[in-house]
Amino acid sequence: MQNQRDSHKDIKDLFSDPRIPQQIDVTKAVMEKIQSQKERFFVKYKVSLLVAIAILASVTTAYAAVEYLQLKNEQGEVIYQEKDATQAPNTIIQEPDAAMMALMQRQSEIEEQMEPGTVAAVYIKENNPKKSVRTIVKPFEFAKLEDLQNKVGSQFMIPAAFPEGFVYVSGSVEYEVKGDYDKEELYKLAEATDQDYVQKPLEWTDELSHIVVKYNAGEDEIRVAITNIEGVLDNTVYYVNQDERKTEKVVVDQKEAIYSEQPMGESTHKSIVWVTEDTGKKLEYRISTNSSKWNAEAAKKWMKVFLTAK
Amino acid sequence: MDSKETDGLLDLILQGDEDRYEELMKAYQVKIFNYCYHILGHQMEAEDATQEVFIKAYRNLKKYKREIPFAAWLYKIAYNHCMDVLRKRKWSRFLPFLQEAERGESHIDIHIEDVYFSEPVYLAMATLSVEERTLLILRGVEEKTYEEISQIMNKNAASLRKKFERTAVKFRTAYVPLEKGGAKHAESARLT
Repeated sequence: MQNQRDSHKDIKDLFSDPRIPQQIDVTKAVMEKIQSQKERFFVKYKVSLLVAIAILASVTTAYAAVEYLQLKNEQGEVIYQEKDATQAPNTIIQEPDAAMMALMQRQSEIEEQMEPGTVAAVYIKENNPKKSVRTIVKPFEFAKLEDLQNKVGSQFMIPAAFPEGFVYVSGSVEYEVKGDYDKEELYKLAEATDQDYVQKPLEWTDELSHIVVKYNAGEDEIRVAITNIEGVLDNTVYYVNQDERKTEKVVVDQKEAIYSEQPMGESTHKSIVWVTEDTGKKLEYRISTNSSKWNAEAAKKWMKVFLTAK
Repeated sequence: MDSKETDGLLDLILQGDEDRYEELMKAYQVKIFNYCYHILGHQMEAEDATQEVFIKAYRNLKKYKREIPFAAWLYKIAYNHCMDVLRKRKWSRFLPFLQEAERGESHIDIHIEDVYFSEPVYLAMATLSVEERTLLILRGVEEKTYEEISQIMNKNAASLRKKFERTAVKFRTAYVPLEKGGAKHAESARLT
């Protein structure tokens, strides 16, 4: 063991450089935060995401106008388009304050406790000055493909496997929610209990919101999202650094799609997007991955499988 | 601080003596900072990350199971936190200082001192995944056992051993000291 460690002495020496800071002390800052937010928790990802968006939105870049790609249907209607984030209508997102973070954290905790496939209107009493009632959704989750297939029906044929060893690992389904609840009823329930929140179970509609399917091959993962975009005007997606993305229009079985690659440090994020209207509804299909086993040709093959799956 | 002292402090904190948490932090903060510093490649971000790690640890102290060393538990939080930071960074133009250097907008050797101690090490680290960087630091520098690293990274100890050897080779191959001809390979310059 000692020999093995010695054999990596060069690496250890490299990271024993005197320029590496050794005199840091975060204790004061941490203790202050703990004191000031005693009962509050940090939001794991939702707030982080908002903050990240806020940071991105405030970044000034030497953005050069680029042409964006669109997909249109036979009627000439835009069914999908991509634009740079700088063109988004609402680019200023306020960073949430401590109360909002605490509220969102509580919401995440409640969501974590919910059973998959349930939805509820939830009124959280604390840190909620506007007395907002939130609809919390926990999608149906399926470890087995046959269970997912039974749920979504024959309208969506979900393949079990793809070339390069990609096999189904998990799937989830979410529907639109019947939003009929009475806020006043929830407020009254809240007054009558010591619990910090009250909830009313809601029902799903039959209207699909989205299906997400994941395929793995070793450590590589490919994600397929099928989203109901019926009624979504122009279906625009805003990308940060759109000018850094390589995009091209591809055609598979006479169906147009957009294939894109965006460098992400040492890997490249690739995706292919198309919209179908065969079932009378507009459905956006998006397959995305960082896998090095994937490229435009593979993307077209995957797309063909979904287009012809029966 | 040995595990007995750590356990004693944890008991006191969990019984309500919250101020003693400061003592725990003092014992572990430099190690956690060092880890974050090498994974993120940025001093200020590493300090922020260290704060976050200790805040998260405090919030979850009751969930800490003492079968694994406290340090390993902290590293596990740090590992997950750094992954989150890097995931977010992928979507931003956050500190692309090497790109700036390429455009001649900053002097890299001046700038890099503010963020990371060595450009060649930074560039070599940039060729590694977060997992590989973690393995390199925890095994190659901190000399943690594979068993402990497996608890931190949720990976099999035997496969980590093999992976570490491969990672060390990969790192050495990528490491080019500046005085031997420079190493400004900007294509993989951002730690992600």
